[in-house]
Amino acid sequence: MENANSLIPFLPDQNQLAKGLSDSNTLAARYGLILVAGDIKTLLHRQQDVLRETNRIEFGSGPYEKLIYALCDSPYIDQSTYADTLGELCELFYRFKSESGEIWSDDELIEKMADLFNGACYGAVELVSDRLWQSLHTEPETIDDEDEEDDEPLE
Amino acid sequence: MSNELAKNYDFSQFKEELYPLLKRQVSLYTMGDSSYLPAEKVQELLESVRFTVETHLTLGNADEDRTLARLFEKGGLDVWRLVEEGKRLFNAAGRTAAGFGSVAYKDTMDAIGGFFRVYDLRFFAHDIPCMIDYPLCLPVPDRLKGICFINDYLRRIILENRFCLCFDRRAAARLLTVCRPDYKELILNLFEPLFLCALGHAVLGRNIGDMSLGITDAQMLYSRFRPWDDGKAKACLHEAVNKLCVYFGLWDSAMRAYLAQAAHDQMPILKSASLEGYENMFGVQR
Repeated sequence: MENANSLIPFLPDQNQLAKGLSDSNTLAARYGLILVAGDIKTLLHRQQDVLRETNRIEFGSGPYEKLIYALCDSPYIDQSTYADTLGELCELFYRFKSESGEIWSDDELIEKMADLFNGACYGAVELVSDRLWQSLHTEPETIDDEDEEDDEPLE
Repeated sequence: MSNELAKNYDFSQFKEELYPLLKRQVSLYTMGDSSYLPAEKVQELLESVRFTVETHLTLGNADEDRTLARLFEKGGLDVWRLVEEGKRLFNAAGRTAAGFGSVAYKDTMDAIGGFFRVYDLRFFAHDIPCMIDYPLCLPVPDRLKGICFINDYLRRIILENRFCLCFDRRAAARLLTVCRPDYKELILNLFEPLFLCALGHAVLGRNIGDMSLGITDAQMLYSRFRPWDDGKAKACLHEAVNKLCVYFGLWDSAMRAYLAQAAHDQMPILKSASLEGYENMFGVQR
């Protein structure tokens, strides 16, 4: 009996994925962010590696383009950290989805990651990771930005 | 012709077409929420696609368009029709019910009733999402999956039930109690003891409806099959099955075939069993 892994690759057509990432430069370049060929190759390898490790098969392009759209204007990303941050967030995305039992859709998770990255976690991917895992065991409200002030007026 | 199509079919030939089909299935399964799944889940979706395509080919409805997408689409319709057939078989099984108070029988029938509520023919058509504990005298082949397994199981249950209903209900319950006093609580096929008792009567030329073999009868049966001769034993059992069918008015080929196979499957036991084994086998009442 054929195994799914022998009939289906962990990632779809690499050329198409690479083109998608290259096309994302059009948007990201407005914020001074560019992915060169080497970056794209590395990002695709990281994506494939984490899919293998989590034993998942990707039928779409993955989270990169959505992460780029959500974070290209982040104050915590510059050209020197761009590719590496994307790679780390992609790995976090797949690992969290794998372990969390699909409690959030792809779009919901990326939105939460972007909110945390740009907000309470000040651009630290490790903190984003911690806060996400924490959110599995706490009420949804507790992962909001802790800097929000209490609305009730002081007496 | 239909089995030739299924036999000559090699799923790996569809490797190129499989990816877009599975991609669509993943999208439908996740309702667009995600574009990837665990490999185990993809394997399940793949098995479902395979089962659906093979069902279509086995039913012999293949047309000229043999693309995977077309075979899958047609197969989906075939599986749906099999589900409708299964519901009719389930109702028929309910009408012929001969559980004799067996817990395993009742639980299995309840489980099959539940199967039709949870069976997902779109994504897990190969699956059998229910516990089937009650054993048949002639089990469903392992190669059958999904609704094909259920339908085959129900057909066999109906045949067994119809045979059991040929007997006086109290006499049948008494015989089952002689065989195993706690038969209601055990996971035990109930057709087999009744069948073997009737078969024993037929072999000895007794009144089949009596359902009461004694120790002397068991000794005569034991001697009848000694020394063992394959050909003679086969002929003896064949004749006995014919007598059963005539006596009970069981004229359909499916029933005759089932009884013939059930008798044939006893041959290794008849060959090797001791006298005490014969007493147990034929439900001797002491």
